[in-house]
Amino acid sequence: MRSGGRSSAIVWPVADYWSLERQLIQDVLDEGSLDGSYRQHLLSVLDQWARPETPNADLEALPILVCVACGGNPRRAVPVCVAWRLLRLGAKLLDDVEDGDVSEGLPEIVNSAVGLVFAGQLVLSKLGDEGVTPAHVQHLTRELCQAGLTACGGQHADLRAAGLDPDRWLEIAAAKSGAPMGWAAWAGALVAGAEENVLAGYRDYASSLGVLLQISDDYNGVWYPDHVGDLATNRPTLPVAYALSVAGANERGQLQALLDGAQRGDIEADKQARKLLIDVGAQAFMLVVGRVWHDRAVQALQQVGGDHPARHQLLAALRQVFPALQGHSEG
Amino acid sequence: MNSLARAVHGMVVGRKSLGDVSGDLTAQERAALADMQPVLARSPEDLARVLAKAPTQSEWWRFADQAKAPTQSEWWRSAHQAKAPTQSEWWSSPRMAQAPTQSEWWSNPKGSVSRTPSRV
Repeated sequence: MRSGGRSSAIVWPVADYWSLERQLIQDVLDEGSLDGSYRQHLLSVLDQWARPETPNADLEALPILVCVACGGNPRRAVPVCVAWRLLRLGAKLLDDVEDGDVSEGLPEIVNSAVGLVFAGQLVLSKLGDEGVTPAHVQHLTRELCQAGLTACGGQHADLRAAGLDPDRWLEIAAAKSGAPMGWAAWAGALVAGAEENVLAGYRDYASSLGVLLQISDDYNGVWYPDHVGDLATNRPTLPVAYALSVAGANERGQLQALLDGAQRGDIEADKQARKLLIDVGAQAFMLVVGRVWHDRAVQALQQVGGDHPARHQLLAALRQVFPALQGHSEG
Repeated sequence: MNSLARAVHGMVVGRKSLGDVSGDLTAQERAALADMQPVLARSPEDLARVLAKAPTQSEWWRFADQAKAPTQSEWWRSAHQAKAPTQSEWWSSPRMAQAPTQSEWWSNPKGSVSRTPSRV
């Protein structure tokens, strides 16, 4: 068993992993008596949404990055990476449906998402071809299902959430985002043959990273939305959870009235709500809580050790999630 | 984190010291607050002006090539070089407040089109 050392046999980045992943997906879909049009549909969905910008491994290939960082052969992590990609894509399609972003073809999208999730589990059976033991394949599959189930539980809580406090918001973020990401990194380390402490370290790293991504998302969703801001959509958001948990009665009432207005489409109310959130320290809180989860991820990576460039890439990626965290402590 | 929320509120709004607010915090939370005291010493409005935009999840997942990543000092330098907007300018165009946007940093060839999961 290796424990995070560097393999001189691996040059990084090494290969067109996407081609390997795409071929593996095709192989899996070809093996069953799958309806031809459904097979083609799933492949086109995959090509539309999951094809990387460049053939080299990017951060969506998290299991491969971790495998390489642990000194493993990246080819062994390809089935894991495919399962991870399919899970993410299936979750993305379902998330779009749950968020009301789908205006047509909803039944087909739901059916595509479910098919992708099943295909993701099926593809793990290919790990045997890469020399992974049956016991490890079973362990990987069980943990994938557990992580997916945890994410669904988090999503359920998110959909039904009202009046969250920051602790509850973070529990939901850890379930929705931390658990699947934790699986992806843990699985990459497992197929690399990493020791228990390294497995745990990479899972902690990615779980914390997943929470940090959610924090960053809510920060942008309130103050820098790409389209409709979070305050106008009534989705549970951490800045609001913070503000409602610390503000006095008058401010809470004022904020709630502004949020009600924002949800009715009142642009001025939305603007004033964002300003009020700033005034009660919500941006500062987002930075501090982001810093806590950033530091947790850094500590986890430090504990696993190793000096492979892929590990440094994981660390650099962490720093890029929330650039506002970097340098502000310098004043 | 609820106690951390109260601590941040105490420092930012109540202008209390770290020692006044850190009683219920974990060691990690206290360390984060200690490191970020200069940030928390700013007024909320001042902090809002200097904050940069965090990348969206879809932008972040596209990040792969470290060669394109600015160093912290590069980022910080570019942030300070940006024209400090007036409050009215900031409110009317918050994206101009500081530094380059993430899409400018990474020159994301797909622009703002998200093909990857967001908020998953």
